[in-house]
Amino acid sequence: MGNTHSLDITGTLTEDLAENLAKINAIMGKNNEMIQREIIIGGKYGQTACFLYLDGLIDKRTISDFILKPLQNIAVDEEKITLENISKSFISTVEIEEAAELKVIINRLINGFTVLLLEGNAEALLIETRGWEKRSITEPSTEVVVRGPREGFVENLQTNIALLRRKLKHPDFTLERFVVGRYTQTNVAVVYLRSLADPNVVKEVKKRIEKIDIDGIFESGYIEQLIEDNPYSVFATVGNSEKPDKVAAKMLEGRVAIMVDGSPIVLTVPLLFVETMQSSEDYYSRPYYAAFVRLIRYISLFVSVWGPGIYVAIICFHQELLPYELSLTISTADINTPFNAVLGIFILGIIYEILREAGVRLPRPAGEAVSIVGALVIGQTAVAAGIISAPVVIVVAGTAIASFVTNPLTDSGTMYRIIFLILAGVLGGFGILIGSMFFFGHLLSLKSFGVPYLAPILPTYSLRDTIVRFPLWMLDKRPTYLATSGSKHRQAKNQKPAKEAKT
Amino acid sequence: MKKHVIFALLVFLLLFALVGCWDSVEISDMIIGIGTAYDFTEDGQIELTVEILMPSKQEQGYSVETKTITVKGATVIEAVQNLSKVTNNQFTWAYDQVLIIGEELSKQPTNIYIDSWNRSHYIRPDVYITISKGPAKDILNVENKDSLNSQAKEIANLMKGQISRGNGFSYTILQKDLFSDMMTEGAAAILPIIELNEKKEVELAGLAVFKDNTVVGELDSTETRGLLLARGLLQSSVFLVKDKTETNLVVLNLLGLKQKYQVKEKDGKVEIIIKLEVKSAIREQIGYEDILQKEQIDWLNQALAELIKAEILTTWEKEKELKADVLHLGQQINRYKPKIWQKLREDWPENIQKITLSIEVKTQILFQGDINYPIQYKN
Repeated sequence: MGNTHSLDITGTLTEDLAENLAKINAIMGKNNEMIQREIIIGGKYGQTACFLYLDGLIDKRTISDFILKPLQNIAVDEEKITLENISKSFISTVEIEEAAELKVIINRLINGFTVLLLEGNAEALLIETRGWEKRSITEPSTEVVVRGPREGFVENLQTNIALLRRKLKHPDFTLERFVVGRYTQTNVAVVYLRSLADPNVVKEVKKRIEKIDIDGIFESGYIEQLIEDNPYSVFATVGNSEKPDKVAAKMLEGRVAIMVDGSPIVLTVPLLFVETMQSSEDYYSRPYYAAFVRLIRYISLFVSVWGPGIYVAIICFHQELLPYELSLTISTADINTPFNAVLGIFILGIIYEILREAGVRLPRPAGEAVSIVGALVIGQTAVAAGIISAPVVIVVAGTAIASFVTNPLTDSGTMYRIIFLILAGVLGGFGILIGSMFFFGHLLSLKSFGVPYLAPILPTYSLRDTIVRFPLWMLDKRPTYLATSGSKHRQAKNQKPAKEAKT
Repeated sequence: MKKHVIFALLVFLLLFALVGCWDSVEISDMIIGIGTAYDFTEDGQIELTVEILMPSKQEQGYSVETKTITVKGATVIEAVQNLSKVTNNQFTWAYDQVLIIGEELSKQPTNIYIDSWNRSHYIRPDVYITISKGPAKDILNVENKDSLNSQAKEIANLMKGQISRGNGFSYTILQKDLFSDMMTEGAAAILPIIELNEKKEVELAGLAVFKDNTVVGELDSTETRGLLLARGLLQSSVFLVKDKTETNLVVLNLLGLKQKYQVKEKDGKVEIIIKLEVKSAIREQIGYEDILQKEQIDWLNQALAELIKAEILTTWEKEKELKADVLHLGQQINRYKPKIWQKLREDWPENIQKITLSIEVKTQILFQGDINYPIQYKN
């Protein structure tokens, strides 16, 4: 276990039990949940032993059944009882270790171990007795699929690792642990497939995690923000997922996963632009519709980022681009509305964001009320009262829906949508062109852990899994820009389903 | 880094000096000019009549009413600017459907009215241009209260169908066609003529012919179709021919027309051959003869070829009479025999007389429709 943040404790145990207890008590302080229990084991040469554990982190039945009972039932014996024969003969839990340094002892204690101190021994037995309430594995609400596994990660790191391990049963599955956070002492695991992942990326991930030195890590989002390549960019360069199958598939492409104890969101690096357009379901369903849906996502991205901007540019600067009848429809709908197009879209956009935020934060029944109020009051009444024109509502609503299709880009898309709206309002189509130039220039300049963000489009590699998805048997090449080591082919040559031979 | 950011921002700000929101106008604030008519007044001014749309919001969708505004000015642009006397002058001409030139104005040199159409980008190059019989403003001023469409829109609809579904009564000329005709050597520009009939409806009335910057004459409907045939522009038409027995009337429908010019020169005499391949189908037969016999079909083919030749020749006669090259023969001489054209171009309108025109027509009847013989009573 790589200790990024070892506790600032020095000193070792002595052979005096009372002194040892005093030392531990001094470190832990008085007002905590630490339970001490003294027992005497072995009648004839009765030795005092002492248990220490933190209430709430341990499973009391484990302690009583597998530690307390065997120890108290030690028969009167000629021999002196040592820690070694206790651990070898009596204690029947799986994980057990001996340590003398206070640092290690305290570390284990706060992680749910039980510490057994024995009179006359300068070492302590550390017995794994962890046990606390956890959430069971459920379907993640953020990445719902129609077809595909329903399980999602939970808050417990061990469970998450097990979930992932069950998907990738291979000795190359490599896991490296870190402890991050001065006070939270959060366990972080870096997981990758040794034979596929780029060693440089793995090295870089480890380096960046080791560099983190903050008070607390409560969610993988903390790690994400502290290790990303372009902290000023609107675009995320670290991916995340709640689904073990998705993370496993990404690891098969040579990515590195970062799991954080206490968070069901697992990070994957490097993140590419095309990845944000993919869904695990694309690969589970047959290629034709999957390819079409992929195309729809790209169209949605275009609508969600450029939609309001283009509308404003046409309405305010390039009216001649509208067909005759459409220009009449829009101009009559716009008549007598108090705001101009830019302001109208801006106000409605803000109202939409407020509604969305309210819907997310409020408890579900209240959230429904909010959506009804939003849809009816804002949408219908505002149009009927002539405050906002119907085309503006259509544009804002259409963009909002489109922005949910490209889910990982919803937040960065919203930012750019506002930029394009303002540019279009000031400069018209020219502004949109300038904005797009910056937009694409920025995308081209981004890198995620050394991999260009727009790969495999620019620089160009195999495009079979970008704007459309080719059939699985045609996706034979591994993305070599991600998985630098290992074979270049991820499947045998003959994977195209052949017709049954004539008999 | 900081320096770079400031530099980038400054460069970005410079862009605002190039363009900006000064010409940003909301579409709902704009006045949509849907049709424009140009007349020449007795005191030598241009009279501009604009049909503008006044759309209004309805329970569902919109309704449109139109009205016309007439202003005067020394030139077209001055007249346009004078529109601000009665409106806020936020016009959009992007939806202008038709430009109508009044009869009086058409007799004036074109340069007094067409310059601004071409110079500004506000008028689309694909707007229809017509010449009216009588004042152009009368055509736009017709009240059409029952119709949602404006008068200009109706004229545009009328023009739109002429090429693909018309009968060769007229030809659609867009603004860009007019200018390209005017700029081509050895090619006279033409414009369709519209007039109001007794029921105050807009009707097509042949083509107007330009020469030396002014309209010099008109082609009637036969001459118009002759022109379209000779230039291979006709896409849809019907021809009435008699069968061999002279008792049956057969209507042939044009299916396809291929046209080719051939320019020959011998001893200084220029001969232009117009080669036509006409494909047609029988659409109607009045009478009971069996016209599907080979000799009958041959006869019909022959009759159709004669008819086409005759029509082209009437146009040719008109061309010689007007001394305006509506058949664009000069352009063909220039294309195929540029050296000869150098000699002829100086005095081309007079030299038209020296050209020999011959016409070769190949006709082919492809179909006879769903029945072979006319239905007759057997009792």
